[in-house]
Amino acid sequence: MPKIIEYVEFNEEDGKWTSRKIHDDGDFIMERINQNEIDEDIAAIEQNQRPPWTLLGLPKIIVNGETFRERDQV
Amino acid sequence: MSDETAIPKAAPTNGRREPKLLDIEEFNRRVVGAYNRGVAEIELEADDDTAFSFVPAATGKLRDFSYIAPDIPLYDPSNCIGCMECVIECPDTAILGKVIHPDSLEEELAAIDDPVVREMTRSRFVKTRKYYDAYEKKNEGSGALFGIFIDPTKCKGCAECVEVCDDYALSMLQKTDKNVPQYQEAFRAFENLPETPDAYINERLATDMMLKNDSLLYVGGAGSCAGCGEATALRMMLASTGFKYGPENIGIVAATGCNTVYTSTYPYNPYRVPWTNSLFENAPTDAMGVRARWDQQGWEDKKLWVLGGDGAMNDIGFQALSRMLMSGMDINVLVLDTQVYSNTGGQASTSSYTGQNTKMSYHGKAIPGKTERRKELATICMMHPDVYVAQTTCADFNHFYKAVAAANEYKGPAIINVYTTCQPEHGVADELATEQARLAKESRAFPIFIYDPRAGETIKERLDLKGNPTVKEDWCVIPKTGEVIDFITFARSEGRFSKHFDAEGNPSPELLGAQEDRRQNWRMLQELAGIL
Repeated sequence: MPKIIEYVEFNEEDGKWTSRKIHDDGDFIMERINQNEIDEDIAAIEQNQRPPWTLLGLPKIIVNGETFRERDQV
Repeated sequence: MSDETAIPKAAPTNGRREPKLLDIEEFNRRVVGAYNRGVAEIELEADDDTAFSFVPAATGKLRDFSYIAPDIPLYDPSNCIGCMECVIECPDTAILGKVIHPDSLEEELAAIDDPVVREMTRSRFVKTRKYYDAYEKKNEGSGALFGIFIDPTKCKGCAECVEVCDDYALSMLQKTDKNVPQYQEAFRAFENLPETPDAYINERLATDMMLKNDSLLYVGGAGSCAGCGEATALRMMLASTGFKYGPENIGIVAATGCNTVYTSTYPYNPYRVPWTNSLFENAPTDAMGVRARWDQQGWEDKKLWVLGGDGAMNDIGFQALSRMLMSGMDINVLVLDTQVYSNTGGQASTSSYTGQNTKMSYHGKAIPGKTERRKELATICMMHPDVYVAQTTCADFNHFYKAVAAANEYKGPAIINVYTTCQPEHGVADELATEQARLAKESRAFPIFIYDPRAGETIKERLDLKGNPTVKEDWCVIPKTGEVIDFITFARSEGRFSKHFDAEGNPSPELLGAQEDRRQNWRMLQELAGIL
């Protein structure tokens, strides 16, 4: 499979944030591993900013089930 | 008749001016520029440069493939551990790594005016255990950041990098009008960063080699297919050789084939080192002439590599290869074994597997694919005295690099036969060059080995099968699942054998015959290595 990304998602459960990358209409999922990096991404999101690593490429971002940024939206 | 009139000192010129060497800047501007703009046929007249078939080094760098693929890799630094496997396996030098100290990075970033480009560039870098924690542990303040950058002008969208990344740091992303210019900006910023300092390149780690500019001697921009396994082998051979000996000490003689076509699609040349192409059948003997002349000039330490496919080396140039191996000359050969004449449309070679569906051995009512057995070139080469021989794959990059390093050190003929996935002829997806090469090894379709005449007097002392799974067994068995990886497993994964399976997935008798051929070949290697 080509593993084409659909969106990056962030979910909070019991005060802990997790993040995953969803590919190929949900057929392939990549777990994001580095918790420090995820927490830094959340810090950016809380300031209504894209996580810095997504500035290049601008993938769609979903936070707790709601669209935070559409594809290509800065 | 005097001697002077009998033998002209030079060909008559009819008063034309003497040939001159290329004016590289002028060539790149006028000729490459015209091709890049798509107006070469209209604007360019025939000239000396074309007549002499000269192309400057690394003009492939100026080629732009941004338009050919719909997708491009997206790098997620948070999952990256700095293993460099994506950089190693990319066939097009489209994905590159960099290690930089945080202070140096901030200095470089300060010089970028556009705040968005500055942030995009900063966000490519991450603290990894390999380049940050390990250095901090030794000397506080010395840890460096690691980053990956993608060149959209070189990427063909094969997704090989995504496939080989076990840490899920890469995905493919649809290109848009917005993100392609972003990638171009970020890559320009990358090119302006200083080279990775030597302090962060571990000479014992082969994976670090491609951090050094002297190892990046294949710049991309070649006309090879997306995901081409050959191009990765060429890049890796040059990286290993350039890393140790420097680009100024390498030359290539290439036998006609896919490798010469995609590296000389006028006016684009991906090599930073000099190379020449004579004919299909005579590259090894051509190289003997080059070697003799180099040695006369006192260039004994320069490394000369011959490139060719299995058609050139197993078949049409086999005699020339054997002659060269007997010469004792210090020449290395890299055989790009695709098991088929890829360049001319997929005819069977003597390297093709039994049962393989090829042009000239079409699977049908008359014949069930190729009816002959595969010829084992590397084993034959072992029977030439005092020749270093290796068989390897790009998937086994440590084994590959070790083989290239040893071939370069060996004072005499050396040959490396490397499995190279050919997507259109094997019937596999673009991103599977590494995966299929690994499976070829595991299934005994293509065992890896090193035969070093310096290791002892007997064949079993010289032949090393390390790197193959479960070397004492006929087939590889996965301990956890009990799954057997045999030649049928390999054949099932490739389109070239698809006609040998019925609707229930049962293999044909001919394919079972091919499996027996592979078992016998493996047993012969086990016997020679003293394992049986």
